[in-house]
Amino acid sequence: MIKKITNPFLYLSDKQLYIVAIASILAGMIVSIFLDLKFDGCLDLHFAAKVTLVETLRNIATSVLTLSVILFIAGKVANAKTRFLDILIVVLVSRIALYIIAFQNLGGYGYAKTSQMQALLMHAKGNISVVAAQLQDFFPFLIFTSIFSLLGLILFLTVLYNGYKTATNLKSNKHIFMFIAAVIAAEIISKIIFNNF
Amino acid sequence: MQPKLPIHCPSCSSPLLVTKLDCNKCATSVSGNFMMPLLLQMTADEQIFMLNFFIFSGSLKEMAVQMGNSYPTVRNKLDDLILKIKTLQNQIAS
Repeated sequence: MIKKITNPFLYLSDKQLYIVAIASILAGMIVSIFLDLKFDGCLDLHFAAKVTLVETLRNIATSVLTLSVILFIAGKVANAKTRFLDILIVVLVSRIALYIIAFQNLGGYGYAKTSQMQALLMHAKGNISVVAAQLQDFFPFLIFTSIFSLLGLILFLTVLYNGYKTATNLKSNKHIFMFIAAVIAAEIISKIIFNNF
Repeated sequence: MQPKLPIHCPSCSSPLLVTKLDCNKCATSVSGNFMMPLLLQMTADEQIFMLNFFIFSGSLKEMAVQMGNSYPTVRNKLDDLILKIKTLQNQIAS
């Protein structure tokens, strides 16, 4: 069961993968709009006060396409038979893990907590003892959100790596390093795109 | 049940050779050291895959649909098989 979740590309047919990928696009939009989440980077998600439909479409399209194009280039270098469609499906399917993380902001809870912490830090003006005392109230939230986000991120990267491995028939260590470099490059490029356009 | 043709030694995993062939009709026996043909050096799964590839006229897309796998999974199997055959061909040639 765990193998099927972490590497669905070995077990599902093309048709099933297309359905999951389309469901992922819809899930991303629903999660972003109804849970007010900004996906402003290939590996990023942030709680926000309000996210519009246009913002959502732009964010998801930019994140997905940037990561897909960069991974496709790396995949082509590793294996000339790599297809863009396979990489796009891999990126879309793997992002479902990110959408699970989004449920921390149910009812605006995550955004409210982080806003309170930011206000506290601004108000304390570097007085560490005051900040430390007041931040204790946020420890349960911080611990929960850290573990939950980390698990989601690990699942996202695991599914992404397994999918990429299948799409490119990845075997050598050199190409594994290229995959890691491509993910980091995609994150940087997507951040540049979000900050400038 | 059709017994499986062993292609590797169960003790040391080296490829097995054919040393004796019998005619069931006249009981003639031929002895010697014969290499297994290349296709018989593949595993049963690999032979089925190659047979399917032939039946589906080389269409990996159709094979993927029939096998219930994704296209890249089937293509990877074919690529791995091609690599294995090339390695075996080189071993036979050398």
